Amino acid sequence: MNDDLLEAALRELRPAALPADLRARMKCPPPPELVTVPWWRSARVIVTASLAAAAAMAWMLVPPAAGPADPAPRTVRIQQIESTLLAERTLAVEEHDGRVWELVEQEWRDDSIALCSSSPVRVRYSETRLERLCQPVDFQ
Amino acid sequence: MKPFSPTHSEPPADDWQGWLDSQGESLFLYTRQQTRCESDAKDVFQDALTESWRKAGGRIPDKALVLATIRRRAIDLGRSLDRRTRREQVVIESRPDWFAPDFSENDTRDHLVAAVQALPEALREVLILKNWGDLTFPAIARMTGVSVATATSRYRYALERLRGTLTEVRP
Repeated sequence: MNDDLLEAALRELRPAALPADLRARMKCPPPPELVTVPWWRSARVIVTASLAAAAAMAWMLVPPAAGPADPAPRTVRIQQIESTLLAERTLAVEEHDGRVWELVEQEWRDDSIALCSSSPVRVRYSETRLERLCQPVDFQ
Repeated sequence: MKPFSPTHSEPPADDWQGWLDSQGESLFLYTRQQTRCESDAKDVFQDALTESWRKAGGRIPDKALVLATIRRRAIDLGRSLDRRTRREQVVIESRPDWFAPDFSENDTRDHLVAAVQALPEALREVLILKNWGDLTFPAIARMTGVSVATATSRYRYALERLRGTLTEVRP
């Protein structure tokens, strides 16, 4: 048998059909593959995140380097704008020399502005204060 | 191995089935040649075709790429010791005919099939890739990692071995 006849005989051989069970389990096409992050890429993300976290920690823990000097403190002038009586209550009442006196406690709110002496800075603020005074009671 | 779920049949099922119809038999022939038992051949075949299909974006992949994938997966499987042990046990049980039956009672065909299956693995691989894989000698050489001259000579040597076997039977 020469090569031509032999090759012709080989070509007449057809591969066997796929086994039925293999056919059955390959009935449907495979689903698309899920995208997964390669290990080296995820490792790079971890390293980058770690470095960023370390840098953030260092930034928070290390005291800042000496920067430009703070400007010198400046004197201020207080300008009171308004005083408002918030509450008033009587603490005690007594009679002296035929007249009735009462001890009164008043709560005031003072609104003020602090004016910087050599700059246009103006800071508005409020504070409360208590004031006690004796005053005659007028029964009219 | 689990069957594919029919709920994931987004890719064109016609292409997939058409691909199996047109090339499945020759690809499985090569898979059988690369593995040593039928169950390994089925696993490698399904895994390799799945991988090739996905790499091709849900389209019919290049045949040479599929054959190379089958080869790589079969080698990977062969390196697994536990699989090897199981394969040696199973190979004794059955070895199905690699080729379709011929009912013309042509005994030359039976001898030829037996002679092909009895060829040394390196010769048989080149013979199958050339005749049923439709690969050229340069493609076979790239895939198997030998020179073109070696691939060609292996093919010629395989033919000589087959001819010698058949001459013994039918001088």
